[in-house]
This record gives sequence, C-alpha cells and structure tokens, in this order.
Amino acid sequence: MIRDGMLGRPGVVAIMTTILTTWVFLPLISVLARSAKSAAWIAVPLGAATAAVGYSLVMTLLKRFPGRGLLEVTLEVGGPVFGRLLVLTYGFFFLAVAAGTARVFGDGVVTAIMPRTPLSIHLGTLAVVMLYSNFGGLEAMARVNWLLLPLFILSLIVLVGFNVNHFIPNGILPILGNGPIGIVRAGLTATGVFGEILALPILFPMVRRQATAARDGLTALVLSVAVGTSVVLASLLCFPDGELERRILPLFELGLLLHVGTFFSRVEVIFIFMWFFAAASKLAIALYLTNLSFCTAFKLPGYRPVIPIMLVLFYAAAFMPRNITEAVIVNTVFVRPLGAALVLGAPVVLLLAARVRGLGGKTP
Amino acid sequence: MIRLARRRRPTVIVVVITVAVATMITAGCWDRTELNEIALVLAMGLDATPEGKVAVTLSMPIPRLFPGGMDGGGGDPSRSVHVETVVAHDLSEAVRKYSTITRRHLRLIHLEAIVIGSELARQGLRRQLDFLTRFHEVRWTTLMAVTDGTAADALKIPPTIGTNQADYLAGLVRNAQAKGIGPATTLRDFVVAVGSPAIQPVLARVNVVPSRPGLGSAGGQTGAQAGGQTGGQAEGQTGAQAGGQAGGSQASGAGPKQHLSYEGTAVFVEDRMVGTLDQEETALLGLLMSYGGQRTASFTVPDPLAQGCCVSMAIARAGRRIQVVPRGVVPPLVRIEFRPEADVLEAESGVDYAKIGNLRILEQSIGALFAERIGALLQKLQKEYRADVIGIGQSAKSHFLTETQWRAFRWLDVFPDAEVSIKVKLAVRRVGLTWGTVQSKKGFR
Repeated sequence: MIRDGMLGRPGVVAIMTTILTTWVFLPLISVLARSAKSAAWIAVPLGAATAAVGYSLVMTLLKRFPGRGLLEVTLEVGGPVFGRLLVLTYGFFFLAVAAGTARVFGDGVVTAIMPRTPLSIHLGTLAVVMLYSNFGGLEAMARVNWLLLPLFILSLIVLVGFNVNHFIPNGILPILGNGPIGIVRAGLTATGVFGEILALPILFPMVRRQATAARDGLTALVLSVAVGTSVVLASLLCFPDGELERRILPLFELGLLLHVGTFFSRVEVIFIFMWFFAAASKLAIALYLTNLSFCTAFKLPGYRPVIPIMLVLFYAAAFMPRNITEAVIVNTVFVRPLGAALVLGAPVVLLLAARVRGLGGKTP
Repeated sequence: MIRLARRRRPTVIVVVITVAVATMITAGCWDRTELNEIALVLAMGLDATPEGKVAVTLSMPIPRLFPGGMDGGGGDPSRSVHVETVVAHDLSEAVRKYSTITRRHLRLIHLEAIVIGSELARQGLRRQLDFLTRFHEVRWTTLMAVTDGTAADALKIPPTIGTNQADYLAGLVRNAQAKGIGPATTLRDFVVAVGSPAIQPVLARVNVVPSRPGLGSAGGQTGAQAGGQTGGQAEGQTGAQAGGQAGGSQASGAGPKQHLSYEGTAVFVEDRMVGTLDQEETALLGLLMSYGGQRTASFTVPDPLAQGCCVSMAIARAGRRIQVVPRGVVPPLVRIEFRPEADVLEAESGVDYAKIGNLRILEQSIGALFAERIGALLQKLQKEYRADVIGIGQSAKSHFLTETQWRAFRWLDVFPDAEVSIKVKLAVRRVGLTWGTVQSKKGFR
C-alpha cells in the first residue's frame, strides 16, 4: 500500500542498484570490449566516476531548492520552453532505455531460451508487469526491489564465482587494452549507462530522508560498479583475446560455461528467471520516471492516467529497431551518449542558469 | 511535484478477469516438447567428404536400452545408442536433414563430445565452429577431440565399460586430464585459441585401436614406440608391458574387438591441424600449458642407478614460470623454469630411494631428462609445427601496454625463431609407503 509514495533508505538503495546494475545482462559488455579490448573492465569504474561527478553537481543544484526534485527544478530554472524540453528529454531518455533494454532482453531470450515464443509475447509479459508495478506505485516497486535485489546479486556472484576455474590467466592483458582513447570511448558509454543515476534526483521529493539521499545514491553506485566490474572482468577472463567482442550475451555465455559436475549443469535457465525479474523491475521504474517527466512537463496532477499511454509508446518503441543489431546500435550510438550528456551537461547548464537568474537559495 | 492518486481497491471484476485469464494460460504449454519427442545428441562426429561437404555423425542414446533406464532393460553397449551419419553443406543443414527421417526433435543441449576426423581437421574447422558458437544449445564445456581415422568410425566403438558411448568418449578425454595423461580441450578453449594471438589450439587425439588378446593393443605399440623414441629401451619395455596389460583385460571377456585410446594430441595452427604429439610429449605439454592442461602426470623413466631398469614417478604438482624477453629486431628470448614435485611410484631395481644420496642423484638425472624432453618438444613445436600450443605468448603479453603494441609484436610469427632457455628443478618429495623394496631371503635379484 502506497503511503504518500515515500522511499526509505533501503528502498532508495534497492531501486538505484537495480537501475544501475541490470545492464550487465545486455550486450553492453561486448560493446565495452569492442572499444577498450582487454581494458573493458577499467571503463566501468571510469564511467561510474564520471557519472558521479554529474550526480554530485545535480545534488548541489538540488540543495539550492530544498525539498524539490530535478524535474521541478529544471522546469523552474530552464523556463517554460527550455526547461520543459529538458524535462521531456529526461523522460525520453528513460523511455528509450526501457524500450532498448526490453527489446535486447526479449531478443536475447528468444535467441537463447525460448526460440519458438514470439518477441511480442516476451515484451507483452514485461509490459504487463510494468503496468501492474506502476499502478502499484513507487513504494511497492521499492519493496519488490528490496526483496529481489539480494537474489539478483547472489545469482551474479554465483555466476562469477563458479566460473573461476574457467578463467584464462592474462586474459586482461595488455593492461591498457585498446589504449587510452579506447578506454575513454568505452568509459563514455559506461557514463551513459550510469547516467541513469539521474533517477534519484528525479525521485528526490519522494525520498523520506533527503539528508542521506546523496550518500544512498553513491552507495548504490559503488555497489553497481563492484558488480559490473566483476562481471566484465569474469567475461574477459573467460573469453579473452578478442572473443568477448563476438559474444552477444556475455552473461548468458558465462551461464553456458557453468558446469560443476553432471548434476549442476545447464543452470543458465535459473539465472534467466532472475534476470527477467531484475529487467522487469528496472523497466517498471524507467516507465515510472518517464511518466513523472511527462506529467511534470505538462503540469498534470497525477501520473496514473498516463501509464497506458506511455506503455503503448514503450511497446511501439521497443519494436522500432528492425533487428537486434539495430537495437544495440541505437542503444550505443544514441541512447547512451544522451545519458552521458544529460548527467554531465544538464546539471552544469542548470547550475549556471540558476546562478545567472538568481534562482534558488545561496550556493552551498 | 506529482501527487500520487489514491489507489483503488481491486474490484471483483478485476479478480474474475485475472482468474479467467490465468485459467487459460496456465492450462498447458502451447509449444511444449514431451520427453519422448526429444532425441538427445550426446556426441557428434565431423568428417570431410570428397565433394567438400561435411559428414555429421550423431550419437543418440536409446533410453530404454540404458541400464536403469525406461523399461529397465538394456546393457548391450553396441545397441544402446543410435548412430546416424548425414552428409550436408553445414551443421545446421545436417540437423535439418536428420529431422526429415525422425519424428523426434534433435537437441544438442547435452552434447558432451565432438570428434573430428583428421582429414577435416587438416582442412580447417572454421566453418563448423560458426554453428557451434552460434547455436545456443551447444555448451562451451563440450569436449573436443581429433581421431586419426573418421569420426564416424570412432563413434561406433562401444565403450569398454558401461553402455554410454558418448560418455565413453568424453570420459576418456576427461580422465586423461584427471590422470595426468594429457590435456582436455573444451569448445571454449579451442575457440579462444583459434582467434588468439598468444596461443595456438591443441586437441586430444582419440584413435580407434584393435584389441589384440595377449599381445596388447595398438596402445602398447604406441607406448613402445614412444618409449623407444624418448627414453630408450627400458621405456619401450614399459610401454609394451602396459599394452600387454590392457590387451589382457580385453581378452579376458567377450569385450569389443576395438576400443578407443587417448593417443596424444593434435597440434593446430589457427583452425587447421598441422601435426601430432605422442603420449610422452603430450604429458609434458599438458604440464606446461597456460590453460586447459593438467596439473599432474606420471612418467616411467630409466633408473639412473640401475641400468636396464625403470623408475616410475608421479608429478603431484608442477610449478612453471615462463618469461619472454623481447629483444627488438633479434628474436625474443624465452626462459622456461619448470619446477615439478614428484613422488616415487615404483622402483623395480630395488634401489633405496629413501636415502638422501640416491634421491639427489634421481632428482638430478630425471631433471636433466625432463629438460632434454622439454627442449625436444619445443624444438618440434617451433621448427616443425611453428605452433605455440603451450601458450608462451600469454606470458609475452605482460611486456606490452596496449593491444596495438602487442599485435605488432606478432608473437606467433616470431615464436619459431625464439631462443629458448630451459631450467628444470625437480624435487622428489615422497617415496610412497615403504623405505625400500620387497626383499627375498636370498637378496634382491
């Protein structure tokens, strides 16, 4: 039961960790490996550190407007045109993230587990979960995440831990991989991934203990970086020397590699269930953030009437790429750079605008 | 700020709709596949054909003929699997072609082993690897092996013990690794090595050999040959003895007339087989490999203190340190430091190897022998096959910061000319449960 939609500290950490971790089952790992080669693992903390800079700028901005979230502040500082456009861009970003994640995840399930089930059924199932979660509200989503996150993380730990015997020594050498430029390029992609940390400033008004919200966000970021770096490292060590670049679903392939005796093999299907729940949770939150952005931009009093509309948009957008390659390209070339631009660019512009226009309280 | 609307309580209509929908979608799986509609492929054989196609041999168990399987019958190894060969352009066409003659769905989810005929292996496996790495049912831990004849023949050999033919093949390779006989290469190991600039692939070589009662199998001949090549007359005798024992066990029952034998390894340059290594070389190779090899091995070598006799040693663990020193235009220097720790398994001469003095002589003598054999193995790999199947290149990587620098070094091209320095430091740690050998009243003869 939603009680004013307030998020406690565990809720904040759970929601943010889910949002920032679920990229590991997408082809983003091989995208990072293609850019940075054997140094792909460095791109993860690098991207997260860059995103953390943007995040701290946003939190600095929010301190000038106590009790208000990024959407409201953007609208006030940016004005009716630019501000509204930026708020809609936040919404578009989360919608694109949701559609891209769902599409690639759906195609992955069709390729790897259920080839005879149409993609529309997979996406439809996710859409139903998203619909139900959004009607349930933020607090319900936070509780579900708090419940599922340990299992999700545990499944990743098992996947990495049980594959230690498959690690190929020196798989992460040469240490700088494709060189500094390659690492920076992969780092920017990772920044786009961790750019989803903007979810917390958007949800800020619904956080019960706002004084610790910034720290809780960073806790989730650190946790996600630890998980993400471990998974990328394990993937590099299991598929070194350029092989990781050719793997579309590296995490699933780690599952395929798992073989601990005859009676503990073909266990990847167990992980698929975990990934489905994690993906559904992330998509539900992404849709929620899209709804909030849209409603704030147009000053609508409640978000629930918008849910079906946004869900249709999500479903249509997920089917826009003609194939999995197009879906990955759209995600890598457009969506992630947009995320990086939003997390790094938007706070700088808004901070400057707030100072120039003399809006908000004093700069801390 | 958005104000959240008050949540409505679910109405009876919603509950009714949910129950109705659930009743429809949980009643059954619309694309279900029953167990009796599945044909599980446990082993796959790949051979070249004269017209440039691939002959795919599939080995599928017949569950009711497995002991303890359905109907509780079975037990005849030659009939418990169904082996079928299909000639096709590629593997997926082979699977499709086979599906035209069976009512069952062919599934590769339990594929344990892939055997490749030597002719196809020499032509190259790139085309076949595409399907094996693309199709989601094939798992990375599937073991791979090469056979000197055709894979189709290898898959028709019933197991010596048990009834599961595919398990026989995979078990043979897996057991070889566990017992220190040689490496067991999985599909993942092979695929990574094919594309790697640091290592070349190696596969187990499993051959069909005749069982010859009393005289030992062809394995015995191989042992003798290997012994003759590497260790002199004494080892040749040992190999023959081992063969004799194997042949004897076959002769004692109404066992199969042929069996499979782990005969060593096949060396590849990228996806093409370029040569073979015998059992002695394979055991050493496995100890030196950067991955996919084995941690233990056992050797029967000439006794340094008793001419004409042998001493058997088990290597419990083997430390290895490989250093590559790039030297600009001069070929690189490779320093191999091999530190095996051995136990004495058998000393037929009766020499007391518990004595410190004898132990030192044994360590030095066998250490020198190992150094000589590693040198010979490397010479073969460098000059004859030009293939770094040990993975020395993995150590060379540490000298380079970026992938561009590392690839420009062209390790696999410079490996054949690299200067190699080998240092072996053997330590005999234990001598078993006895200080000396069994003595007769008149003394040991």
